[in-house]
Amino acid sequence: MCLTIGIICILLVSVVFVQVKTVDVIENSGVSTMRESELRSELASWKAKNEEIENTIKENEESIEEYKTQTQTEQGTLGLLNQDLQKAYMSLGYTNVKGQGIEITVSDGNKRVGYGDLLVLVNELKYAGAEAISINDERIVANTDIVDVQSKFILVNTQRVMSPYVVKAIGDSKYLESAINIKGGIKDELEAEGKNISYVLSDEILINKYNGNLEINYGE
Amino acid sequence: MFIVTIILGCLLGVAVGMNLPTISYSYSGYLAIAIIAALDSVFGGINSILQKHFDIKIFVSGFFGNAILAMLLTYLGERLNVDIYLAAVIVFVGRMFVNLSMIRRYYIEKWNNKNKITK
Repeated sequence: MCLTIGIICILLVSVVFVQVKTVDVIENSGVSTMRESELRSELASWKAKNEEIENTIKENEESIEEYKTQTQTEQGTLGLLNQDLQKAYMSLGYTNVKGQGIEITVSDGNKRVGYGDLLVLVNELKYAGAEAISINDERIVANTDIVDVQSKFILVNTQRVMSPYVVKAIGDSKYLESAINIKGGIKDELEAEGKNISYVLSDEILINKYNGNLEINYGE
Repeated sequence: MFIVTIILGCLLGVAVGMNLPTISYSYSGYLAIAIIAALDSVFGGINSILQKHFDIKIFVSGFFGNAILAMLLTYLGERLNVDIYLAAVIVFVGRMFVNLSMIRRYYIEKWNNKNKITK
């Protein structure tokens, strides 16, 4: 009888200790305190969440790809637009231009140089294909005026210019030269009238930009 | 004699229990319910000794039988998705309280009698 009770004591106490130890271990390791079914449902929900997130990642990647191609094409169009804008600015006279061309100096001789002489000169240069023209650094643009005031002084872009008039033009220098130099052309005419004209061909003519505003107030 | 055996058994049980490995969590619920059942049997045994109708056969069969039955019920509950082990816990712990109160009453009566005699 004593033996039975002793064995039962050993059994009971040892089992209690095993259980206490097990509970201690479990409480130190969070997840394992959950029941199997709980863990299973937890796992399922996490899997679903994971799937969802992966889907959103995929979607985001796709949209990123889309944006990338879009920006690439946009950059292309932007580049084209910029080129167009640059060209437009150049032809409007809003940029400094450099290139081969001619530099003509006209000065008063026995007779004064009139505004008509300059007009004719500019016109001839335009005819010869000049891309940019300036008179004493006043750029000739679409609405440039070349006028005289009481036959005393000449205004270009409403700025007074004085002799010697330095007319620069960028374009095919051979064409420009021949337009000036042609027999019975403007050079001959001016010299015959007793005015001084000379020119220099150069590969590096620099023409400054137009500094005024091309305002449009009345046109629509 | 009894007390020496119990103390020795408890000490040996501590030593053995410390050296045994832990069990997996899914079985610890069964073990817990078995421990409750066994403790109930122990208190029942102590009570029956005090009431002078202790029988070792009833004690041992109750000790193991209750524990095994409690574990089986817990397993059944798990299968049926009903927490039957709660019912087992309530019954065993309730009986434990009843047995403890009987033991308490026995000793209080004994003490009272002693006081009367000395008076």
